[in-house]
Amino acid sequence: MPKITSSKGRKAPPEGFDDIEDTLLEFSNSMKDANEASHEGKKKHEMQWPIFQISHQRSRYIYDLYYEKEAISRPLYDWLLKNGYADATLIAKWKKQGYEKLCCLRCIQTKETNFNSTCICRVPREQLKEDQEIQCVSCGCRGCASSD
Amino acid sequence: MESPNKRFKAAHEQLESEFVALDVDEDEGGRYGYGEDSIPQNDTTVNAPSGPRAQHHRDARFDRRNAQDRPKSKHALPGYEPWVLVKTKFGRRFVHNVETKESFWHVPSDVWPAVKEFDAWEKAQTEKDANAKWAEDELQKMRDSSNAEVVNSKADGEESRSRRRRSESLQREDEEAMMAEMHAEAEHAEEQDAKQVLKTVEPEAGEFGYDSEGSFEYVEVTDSEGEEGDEKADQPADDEGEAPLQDEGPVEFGEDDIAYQLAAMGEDYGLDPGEYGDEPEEGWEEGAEGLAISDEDAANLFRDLLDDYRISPFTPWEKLIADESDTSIVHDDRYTVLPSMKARQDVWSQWAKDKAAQLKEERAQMEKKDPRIPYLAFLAEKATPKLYWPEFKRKYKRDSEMNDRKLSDKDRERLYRDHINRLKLPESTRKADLMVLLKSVPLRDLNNTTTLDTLPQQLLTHLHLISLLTAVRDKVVVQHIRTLASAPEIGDMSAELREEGERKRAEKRKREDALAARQRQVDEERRKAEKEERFAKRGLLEEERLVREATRNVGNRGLMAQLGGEGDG
Repeated sequence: MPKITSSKGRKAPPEGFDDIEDTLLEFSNSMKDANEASHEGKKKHEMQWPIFQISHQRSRYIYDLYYEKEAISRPLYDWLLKNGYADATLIAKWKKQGYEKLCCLRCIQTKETNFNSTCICRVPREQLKEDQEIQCVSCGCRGCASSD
Repeated sequence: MESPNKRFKAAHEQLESEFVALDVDEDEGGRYGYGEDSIPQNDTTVNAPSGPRAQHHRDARFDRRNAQDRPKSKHALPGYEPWVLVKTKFGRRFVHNVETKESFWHVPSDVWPAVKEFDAWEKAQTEKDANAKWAEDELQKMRDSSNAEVVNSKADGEESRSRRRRSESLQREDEEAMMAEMHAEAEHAEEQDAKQVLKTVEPEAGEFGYDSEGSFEYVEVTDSEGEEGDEKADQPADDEGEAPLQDEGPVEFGEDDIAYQLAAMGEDYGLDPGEYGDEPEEGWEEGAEGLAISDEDAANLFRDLLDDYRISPFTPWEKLIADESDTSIVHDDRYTVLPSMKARQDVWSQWAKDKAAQLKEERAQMEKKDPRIPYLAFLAEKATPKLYWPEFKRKYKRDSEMNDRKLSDKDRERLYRDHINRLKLPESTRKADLMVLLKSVPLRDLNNTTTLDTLPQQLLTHLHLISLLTAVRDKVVVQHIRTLASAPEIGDMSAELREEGERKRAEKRKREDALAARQRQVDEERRKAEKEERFAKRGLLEEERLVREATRNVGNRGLMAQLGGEGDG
């Protein structure tokens, strides 16, 4: 979540923030909606899925802008990370081979699982059974192996 | 025939020739006699060439069906301007003269080269097109018959061939049946009308005289599994000459071909046939052309699309394609040129990268505008000593000048307070301050060519400029500008400007040199003239003197004495 600051004494964000401001605003709006959403009829973990999802999308957006499209400047990227618009730890994983599409950090936390394994969504599609539909419990991911 | 010959020619077509019928009522059966020559053939305007009447036996009962045919696409024939080539829904075609409103199934000889030309480049497309349709039907049939087959582009050749054979045999059976039916029909034409609607389309090779035609015509026939049999029987006798040509038609067809054609046809079917009326060219053409577009072209097309829709490179891809509104790129034809979503996304990221770089460059070139300028202009208009800063801020918090992120709140506050304080000073002081400020601006920035709209930044960002009422201030500034000299020679111009200035100066120098030379020449001439004048004058004076002298010496003794004296002397 981006830090909430009062308008007073706020320092101007770096150059180029205007370009992405609207998109980020949309992300934060949908994040708010996800936070407010009702839990009626949902599974225990399902509530958190959209939150992980949006957070992932937003991080991915900024990651793409900086690393793939080179559309934003380094100061702006740093500022965005500092202000919580993107998850720096998740982005750090994306830079590593085999984790290019990682959905969330919980899914690679082997210590939190019963068999010390990663989440089912990390399993490549070809190693799953034919037509096996999966959706992981931690973030609702349907598969984020790099080979997919 | 090894491969089913899909073109059928009625025996009678050849008799049939051109016609110029417009607005002919279509159900006038009797007029179209069997094999009657040069009979106005149904066709009306471009939009209703009530089709198959021509090829079928020119029987009254086919008229209704002919009405089913509709022009589908119109193609300009470059170089033969008033003529257009119109294709019908059933795959036939005719030429139409836009000016005279004439239509001919049989292409007149003077237009013929154009049509041939058109054929040449379009043939491949058309055939694919048609084959795809045929393929689809064929597939459907196969599915029905063996209820297991699905289009499998990877199907091995063996299987596909056997399937094809099966479909062919099926078709032949159909044809036999239909032949019989046809004979029956001859008697009970009216009853059969409804059924025959499907079979209206018939190749007209004899009439058209070009081969590519058949390739798509037979398609419909196959589909309608109609009375092809008897036509086929007639055919060999009819058009011996054309048989070889017809063989070019797409007869060899494997399953993978079918699948390919189907995929290729996707775009075409996306369009509503109802729209085809008069101007289906774009849709149809694009659909057809889509097949031939190279990867690079496709990518470029997609990039053009992104450019045309003024997409921001900072938009997330998901948002872009999730957009369902009418202005979304998803509804553009160019969206479909790339085969997969992945390809699109690749092109998109490349495009966004380039675009962002371009934007960055453009912005770097644009001169930076001081954020204080709009704010000060805003203050000049709105600020009043009656409001404290917090009040002022609250009152105008919605204005963009008050929310500009480039100027911090503290700066805004400071400027506001200073400005208000200055407003309380006597006007003479403020005027004097303004004069001081104006004088401090170097002549380079502020000179007699400056107008009120092009005041230098140095002035605009200064509080002293706005402390006076606008009217008063403008007067002062204008007055000051009038007293100024023109801008001095500019030292720090860009290379280009400098070069141009240099060039201009050089030209000027040249002109001046020329002028000086001319001046010199003129001077010289004048001097010469003066000199000559002087000489002449002197000569005159001399002569005068001599004359005077001579006359003075003349005495009373007469001329003789003088002459004598002179002679003496």
